[in-house]
Amino acid sequence: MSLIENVFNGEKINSLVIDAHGHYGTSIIPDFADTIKEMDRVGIDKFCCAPLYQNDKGFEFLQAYPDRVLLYHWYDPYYDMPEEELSKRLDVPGVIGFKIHPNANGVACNSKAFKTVWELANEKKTAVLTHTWYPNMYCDPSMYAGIAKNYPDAKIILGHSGGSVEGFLRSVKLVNKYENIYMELDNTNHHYNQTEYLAKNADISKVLFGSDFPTEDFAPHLGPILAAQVEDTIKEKILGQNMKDLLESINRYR
Amino acid sequence: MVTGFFDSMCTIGQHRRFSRLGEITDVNTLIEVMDHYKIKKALLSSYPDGWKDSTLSEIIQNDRFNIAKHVVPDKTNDEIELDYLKSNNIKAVKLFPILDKYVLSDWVIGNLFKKLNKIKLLTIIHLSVTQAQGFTAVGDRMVETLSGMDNSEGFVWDRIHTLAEQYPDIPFLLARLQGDGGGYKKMMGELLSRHDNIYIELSHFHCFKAIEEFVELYGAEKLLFGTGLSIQDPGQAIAQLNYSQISVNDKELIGYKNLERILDQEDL
Repeated sequence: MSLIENVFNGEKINSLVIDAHGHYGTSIIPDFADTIKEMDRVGIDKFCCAPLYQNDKGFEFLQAYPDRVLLYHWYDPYYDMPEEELSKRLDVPGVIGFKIHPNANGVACNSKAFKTVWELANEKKTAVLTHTWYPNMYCDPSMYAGIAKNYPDAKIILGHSGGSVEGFLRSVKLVNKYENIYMELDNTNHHYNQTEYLAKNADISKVLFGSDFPTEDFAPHLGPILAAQVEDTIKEKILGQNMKDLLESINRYR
Repeated sequence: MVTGFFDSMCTIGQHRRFSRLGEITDVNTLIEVMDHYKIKKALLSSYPDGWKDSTLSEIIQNDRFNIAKHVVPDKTNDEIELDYLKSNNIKAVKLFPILDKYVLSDWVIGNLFKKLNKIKLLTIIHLSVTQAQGFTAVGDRMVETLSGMDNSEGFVWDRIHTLAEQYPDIPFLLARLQGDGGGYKKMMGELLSRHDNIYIELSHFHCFKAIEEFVELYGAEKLLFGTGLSIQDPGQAIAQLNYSQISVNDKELIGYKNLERILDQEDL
C-alpha cells in the first residue's frame, strides 16, 4: 500500500517513522504509556523526546521504553547541571543530545549562554535540537551558520525550520550549505507545495519529520508528508530514515 | 474513511508572501490538486487579491465550486441581493474585520447583516490578521492572534456572541481557530454551547485530540472541514480528520455533510 493510502484510510503508517521533535508534558499526557499508545495508533516507531524542563521525568520515560524513546536533555542556560554532569548525561544510552529554546530563554543561540551546549555537542558528537523562528532575534536560522562552522561535529537540527516562509527558505539554504545542519518540519505551517519544494530544492537527506507532540497532534504533521506529490522513497526518508541515518552517524541510534 | 471532502477554506490566486513555495492561480491546477487530495468540492475565495475575470467566469460555471465573497460593510452591500448571488454562484461571504479595519458592531455592519440574516447566508469571519500561521511581526512574537496582539481580543468574542444572538439565521463560521481557540478555549466553548448558528473549521486545528474533544463537547455537526489551500497543505486537515478517533459518521459530517447542509438551507 502506498503511503498516501495510509492517510486516506487513517491507517498505521507502513514505513519507519521517527518523530525528531516531541515532548513530554504532564499537563497534557501525564502517563508515559498513553504517549506510546498514541504512537502505536498512527505508527510512530520512535519518539525523540525533549522533556520541557523536566529532564528527570524524561529520563524515566527513556528507561521505561528504551526501544521506543530517545531523549534530548532540555538545557536551561540559567539553572542547568554542571558541565561534568552534563557530559556524563550524554553518555547514557538513549540520550541523543540537547534541546535548546533560545526564544523562551530570551538568549541568543550563539551567545555565551549556550557555549557549553555547542562545545559538548561537538566534543561528544550529539544532536542539538533548537527552536528556530523568523523573524526572531534569538534563533533566526541564519544565526546557526557560524555555529555550524565552529562546531562541525554537532548535528544541528533546526526545529520548526524557522517557522515562517522566510525562515523556511533560510533553513533550506543552510541545510544545503552545511553538512551538519538539518531541518525539522513541525509548525512550519506546512504551506501548500512545501514537501514538493523540498524534494526539488533541498538536500532531502537532511529533512526530518517532527510533531511537537503532545502540544500538537501527530496527524497534522504527518499528513503533508504522506499525501505529498512526491515519490514514496522521499517520504520514507523524511518520515524516519533520515533521522535514523543522523543518529547512526553519531552512534546514538538504538 | 472520508473521501470526497467539501473544503470550506480554499483560495485561489497569488498570495505574495506565501507564494514563494508554490501557488495556485488557475482553475485547472486547482482541480488537479483537489483531485489528488480527494476534495470533491470547495467553497472558494480569492483573498487577498481579486480574481481575473476569466478565472471568475470559470469558477462560476464549474459545479465543483461555490464562491465565498470577500465583503466589506457598505462597500459591497448592494451585491448581497438574491439575483446577484445566484448568478455569481456565491454561497457565502467572508469578513476580515481586522484586516479591513472595522468593528463588528451593529452601527457598522447592521445593514449588511440584516440582509445576510434574511438569506441565511453562511458568513465566514476571519479573526486573525492573516490567513496563515507563517506571518509574524517584527520582533519575536507570533502574530496569529485573534485581533492583533492587544487587550481588545476579549471584545471580539463579545461581539461574536452578540451577533449570533441578534442574527440567529446567519450561520457563522469562525475561521482559522486553533483547537484550543487560540488560547481562548473557554470563550470558544461558550460561543459554541450557546449558539446553534456558530461553527468552527478544521484548517488550523492541530492541538492534541482537538477533534475528539470538540465532537464530545459540541457535536460533530458544528465542525466543518477546511484545508487552507492554496496557502496551506491540505494534508494537515485530511490527516487530522482521518486519524481522529471519532465515528465514521462523524467524520463524514465534518468532511462534507455539514457544509452541504448549511448551504442547502440558504434561502437563495
